[in-house]
Amino acid sequence: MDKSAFTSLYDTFSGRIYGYIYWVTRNRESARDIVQTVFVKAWKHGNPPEDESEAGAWLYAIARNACTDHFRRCGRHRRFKLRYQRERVPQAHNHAEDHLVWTLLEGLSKKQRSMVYLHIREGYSYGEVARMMGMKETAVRVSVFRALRRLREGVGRDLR
Amino acid sequence: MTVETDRHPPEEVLTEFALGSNRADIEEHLRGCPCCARYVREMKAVGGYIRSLPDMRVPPGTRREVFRALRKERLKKLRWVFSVTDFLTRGPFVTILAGILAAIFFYFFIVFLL
Repeated sequence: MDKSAFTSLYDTFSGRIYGYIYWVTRNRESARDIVQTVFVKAWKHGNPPEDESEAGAWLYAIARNACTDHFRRCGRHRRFKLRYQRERVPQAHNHAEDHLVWTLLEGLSKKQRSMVYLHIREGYSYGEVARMMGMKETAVRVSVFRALRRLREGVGRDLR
Repeated sequence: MTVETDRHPPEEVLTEFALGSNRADIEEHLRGCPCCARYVREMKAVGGYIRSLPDMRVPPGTRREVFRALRKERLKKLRWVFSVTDFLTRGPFVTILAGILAAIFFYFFIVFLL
């Protein structure tokens, strides 16, 4: 991949990829480190798909693997646990509702958070999310449904 | 599949509807079922909250760090190329190559002359 193609890829996707990684890791420092890893890996992999949506899916798949590696490393090195502790609620979100949703998201597994982000926020279909996550479409469908049901119970309880 | 007003559709179906699937039969059911209508309303709210959370901004300096990491990777690649050329011009490789060439030459020498 030449420099201009890489720059354009970075400018188009860095914000979304950072948002996704932050959504999964809940830690700004980790998200920043992982974004770096993702784009270096993307450069090493070579040319991304030409279609923007496919290029996004390609990067999300790399990001998802990078997050998995990150959590594996953190689990292995227990002493880093404090450093990588999740932030309770991002400072950028001050509204009561945002605060509530972020708190409820804490209750979901990393995989569920990942799927909810890709399907609900990014608008990828269940099939596309399944390919990114290396899972079956039905498993993604069920997982997203369970995550949303859990969030609904929380939102319903707190905002009713 | 049609949904009767007196039988509640599964929550999965209601969730899909709340997320945007078009189902006239579900719409019809919701008109007569406040319980399912509330479920859909709450699920729509959840989807709305998730979509409306503000985007996280990439921290300043990340771009510079990414491009610095990329330069390092390029240098690593170059270093690898140099180490290969270094190996090719070093003693053991040259000796092995000379040995192979000598063996080939000797083989042809024997085949053609004897």
